[in-house]
Amino acid sequence: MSRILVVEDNEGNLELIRVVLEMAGHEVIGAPSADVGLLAARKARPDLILMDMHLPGLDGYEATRIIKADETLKNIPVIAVTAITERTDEERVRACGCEGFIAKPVDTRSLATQINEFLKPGGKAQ
Amino acid sequence: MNVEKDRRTKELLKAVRLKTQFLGNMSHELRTPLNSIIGFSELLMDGLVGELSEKQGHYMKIIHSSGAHLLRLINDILDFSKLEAGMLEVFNEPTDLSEVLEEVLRTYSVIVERKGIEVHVDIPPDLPPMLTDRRKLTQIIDNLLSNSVKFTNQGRVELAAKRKEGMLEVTVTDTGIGIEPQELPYIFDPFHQVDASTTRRYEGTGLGLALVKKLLQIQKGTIEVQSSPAQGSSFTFRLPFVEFKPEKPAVATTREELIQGLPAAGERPILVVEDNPLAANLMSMWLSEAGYNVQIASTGEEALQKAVTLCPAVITLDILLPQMDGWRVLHRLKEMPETKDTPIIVVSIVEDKSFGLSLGAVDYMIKPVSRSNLISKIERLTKSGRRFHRVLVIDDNPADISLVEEILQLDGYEVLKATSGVDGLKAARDEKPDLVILDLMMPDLDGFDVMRLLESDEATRGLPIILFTAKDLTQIERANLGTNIHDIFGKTQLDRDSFRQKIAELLTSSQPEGSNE
Repeated sequence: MSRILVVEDNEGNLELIRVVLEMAGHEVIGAPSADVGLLAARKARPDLILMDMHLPGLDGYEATRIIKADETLKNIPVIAVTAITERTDEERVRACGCEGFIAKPVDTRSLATQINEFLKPGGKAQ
Repeated sequence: MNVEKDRRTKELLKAVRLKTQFLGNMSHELRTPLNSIIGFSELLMDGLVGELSEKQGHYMKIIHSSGAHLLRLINDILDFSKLEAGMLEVFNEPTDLSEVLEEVLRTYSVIVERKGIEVHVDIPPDLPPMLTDRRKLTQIIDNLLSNSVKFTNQGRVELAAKRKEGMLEVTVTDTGIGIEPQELPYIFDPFHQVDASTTRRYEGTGLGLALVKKLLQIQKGTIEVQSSPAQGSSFTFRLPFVEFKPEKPAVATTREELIQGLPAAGERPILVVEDNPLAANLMSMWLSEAGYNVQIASTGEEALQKAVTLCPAVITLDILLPQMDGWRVLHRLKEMPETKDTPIIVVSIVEDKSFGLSLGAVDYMIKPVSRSNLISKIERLTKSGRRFHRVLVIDDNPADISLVEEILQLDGYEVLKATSGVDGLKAARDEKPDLVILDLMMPDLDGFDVMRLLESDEATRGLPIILFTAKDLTQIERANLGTNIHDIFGKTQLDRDSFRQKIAELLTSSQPEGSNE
């Protein structure tokens, strides 16, 4: 079981990811904005962060840069949850420091497996 | 006249940008609720939140497939609009056709099995990887295959590829319902669905083939179709086949190789990219008077070509160019190994400095530019040989090194990396950097030790150092810092602009070590 912080501003989508990950046995902390997400990351020390990139105010790219520049947080893998439609999107996600991405709309059937890939010691995020 | 023209161009550009923004936002806004619709219906359908009755399950399937269909529509419309607006870029990368086919076929394995159609694939086993836009190739094949599978209820779908006369030729043949001859001329038109009644029977967006044709067109490809009703259809597309050779040809790719054998920065030409002959001549005159060899390119294509062949010391780049605009030229220049380190100054009426800098330009000047301003900027980039400055980054965290490296590369510095204090000291001695960026908290030898040792060594004494650290320094620590510490930047909330500026200040006052000027 891992503790996963999900930063997502859409209530429905947050709930969806929460249900799927909880059914897979994870503990989920939800944050509706990047600000709350950063706060939660510092307080709760999650094992992994799922980051919606398109957020009001501080967006996911900026939030990830802040996490990756923070000595105490930078080792937590950040996985972008975003609709990647072009190569440039993927480059942007990588450039801000995300360890990987999960395509939107999330596939409820494979989300848990995709997450586990990043949680495995020596897995994708390492 | 010119003022009026400039104003209109500005407005037009603004309109294009607004449209891009609108499309981007719209697609996000539409996809977000769909994400919930598709996701939750999937959960219910899979019985993960309790068993559904047969009828409930059936309705849930309808909600789910309608959601998925709506999503496809949105994606197609978005792609199509981007294509129409000339906003889809082509990214060529090494692509293995058989991998692409495998990926596409996997999506259709279930439906193919259910329908009982036979799928046959024929690719020459020795087909080498090609340089092409993998995403777009996948999209093209996916669309053609999806049609074939959709319109074929018995028999087979055949996919054959070959290399022919410098082109990749792919044919998708099916034994499906076929197309009436009078319909054939229109099937590549957007929103044209063969016989309105089929729209109901065969769900589709009516954009698939139009998209395919456009995707091919922007890559100098073609498509043709042969079909007879009740017999089946055969679509053949061709794309330029540029073979990917993994062993790099004799082109220099590392910075060292490139720099070797080149004349000093001061002797290499300045490339002025400008389509307006008056402006080009004016800049050329100013720069020639100041002693530079000036070359002019009046289109984006010409600029890319000359940037490679002439190895210019600096490129000035106009944004409003015919056909390929300056943003794309800038993006390409920063992609190509031969030109990615060449300093580029954007000179344009388009006021979008942050975008220009984010694409990798070293500077941004708004037209009209003054003679003195232009010359001084070019001089800074050539005379100081800024391009040759080497910066050593010592940090035990590779992510932080990458961050600093990314910033330094914007200004064309050469970046040396060391992940421990020991390696850092060695690099400082052997590689003779012009500046050190130093982390404080490192295992074994920490930043304070490194500073002391650099100062005590004859070879590295006086080397300027910028601290880049997450540590808050105490008063005492601050007081004890040596005279070589020129600035301290916190890792959290790094102010990139002042970071870059500080580095530039420190380096422009010094002659680069190891430069041949």
